[in-house]
Amino acid sequence: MPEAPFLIAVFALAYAGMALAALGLDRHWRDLVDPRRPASRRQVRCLRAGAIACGLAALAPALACDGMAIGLLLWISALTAGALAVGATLAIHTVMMAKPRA
Amino acid sequence: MSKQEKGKGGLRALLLWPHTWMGVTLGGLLVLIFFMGSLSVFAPEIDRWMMPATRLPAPTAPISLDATMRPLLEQLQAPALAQGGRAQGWMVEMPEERVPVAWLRVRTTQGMEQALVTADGRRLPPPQTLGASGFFYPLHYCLLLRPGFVGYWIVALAAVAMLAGLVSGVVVHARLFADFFTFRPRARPQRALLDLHNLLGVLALPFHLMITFTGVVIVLPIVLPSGVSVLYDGNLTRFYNEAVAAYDRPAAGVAAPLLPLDPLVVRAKAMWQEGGGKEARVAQVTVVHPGDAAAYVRVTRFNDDRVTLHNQPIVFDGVTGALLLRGAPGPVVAAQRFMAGLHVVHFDHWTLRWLYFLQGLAGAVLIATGLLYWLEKRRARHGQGLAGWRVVAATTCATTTGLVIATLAMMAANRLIPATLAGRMGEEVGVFFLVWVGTAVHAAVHLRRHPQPPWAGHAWAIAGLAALCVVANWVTTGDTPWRAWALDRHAVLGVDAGLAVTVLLAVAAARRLGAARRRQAAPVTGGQLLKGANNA
Repeated sequence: MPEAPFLIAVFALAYAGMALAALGLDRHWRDLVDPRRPASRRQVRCLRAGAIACGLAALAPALACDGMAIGLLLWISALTAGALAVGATLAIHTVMMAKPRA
Repeated sequence: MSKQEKGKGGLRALLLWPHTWMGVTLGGLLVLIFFMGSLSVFAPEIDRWMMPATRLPAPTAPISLDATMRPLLEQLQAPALAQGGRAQGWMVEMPEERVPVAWLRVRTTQGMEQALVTADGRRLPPPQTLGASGFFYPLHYCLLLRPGFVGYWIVALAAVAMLAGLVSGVVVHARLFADFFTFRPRARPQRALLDLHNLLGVLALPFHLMITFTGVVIVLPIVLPSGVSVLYDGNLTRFYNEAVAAYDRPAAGVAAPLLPLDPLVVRAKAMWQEGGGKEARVAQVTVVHPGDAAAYVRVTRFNDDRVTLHNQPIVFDGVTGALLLRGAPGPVVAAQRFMAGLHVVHFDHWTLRWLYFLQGLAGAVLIATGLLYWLEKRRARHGQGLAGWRVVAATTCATTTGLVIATLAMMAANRLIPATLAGRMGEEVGVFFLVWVGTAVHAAVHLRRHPQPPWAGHAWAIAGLAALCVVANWVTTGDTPWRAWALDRHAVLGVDAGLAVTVLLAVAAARRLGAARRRQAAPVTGGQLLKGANNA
């Protein structure tokens, strides 16, 4: 399966990009990094830049693997999949960290 | 509050009303369309599961039409010719990887005959089932209501409502970016449902906009008929013939021998490759007026390497072999065929097929969570005594878990009713609709006594039926996972795996629902339930 490394790269970059984007949001920053202090402006700017860079970088292996039309389709779908995976990761994290209910 | 913010708040309030009521009225229908559409992505695989005789290896060697298919076609039309009929046309749908069997169709003045044959020309018994491509798929695009295109109109209306719902949903969403990834499964049900609704609505928005829009574009000539009625006197067939470059001429009435077909196919392949690219495979070969002096042969290509659905028909004279027509789409048809291809994901890309399937199911869950949120909110405001509330609650239950139950019941019936029974095709459809109506009645009766629709009961039913399907498949066909793996029957393996995942998710949902009910705590985690239920 020669396209496997490309596909892995697309999904890994999409997930990484969405994870950085999530960290750039106050709620998830407090959940994951520092519950007391919000991220500094610079940190948020860096996270967002990283998110955009990863998201755009995911386009390259998608186009290399499948060409223009199907590649774009794969890229957009992979971004959605990455975002949903990040949402699921955060939800699982919150449930695991929560104190067990009485 | 600045004037601008105030304006936005006004727009939000303005759009919330149509968003809500469109969802409540058309939500059930849209869940059906999204669920069946998702199943249709894997229709060939479900077909293999439901038609065990067609679980064959993909054809490897090129198939000779003259050696294998032509004798069968002549055999099919022989009885009609013996009765004094005249042959009108042959059609061969060539086998491919996902559909490793050929369909032969023969039209004579006496009627239609068809046969299912293997790539090496062995005739198979009729499958006695509509399968996914003959039932789930038409249910998706026309609700099986073909006369007068009624079903197409209803589905297109629902699709336009869906587009409006998606866009208005984004406008209505108060904290689009702050809640971008937020899902709190342990929050109270209303909160968790809205989280899931927002999450799926926003994150899968590109796919949902694309799939809904391209869905409408596919049936555009039907739902925007004024162009066709003005220019073609309402003759849709003539319009399609011209648009997709079909060819037609009447029979001459003089007998003449038909040329061998294989050389024509070779020529067609060479012509497709002229434009560059990979060697294209043949999808269909049609012979019109076989044995007549005016016979012609139409060859279309398979589009497994590109998005468009345009099959570039090439038409040859069946007696002289002269090229009669080479179909190239005009700009509008090319755009329409491209969008149709985007919608049906027929090209060879398993990752995208799975992403389509999952995002389609996400669409079904998106709509269902919207309905459940409305139900929770209504109950909080008005109590559940209202008859209208119970009607929507029962309908929601029937169109979500009930639909999954009916689908699984049909698949179980397919494995349990012997294929030798003449009427099995109809019986399967009957089982589907009876069970579906049954779930609606059950939900309605249940709601007279209980505050909630029978979610846990339905989840157990889904788990039981999915398990029954898997076991029935093993017992009736002998295709256990080990055997399916050894024989490379990936379609069977995949459908069984999907059913197994459904069992696991449904059991987990049912247990959680049961525990929640026993605790008498927050009533339903409908979101989780649906997440599981829709994974059939």
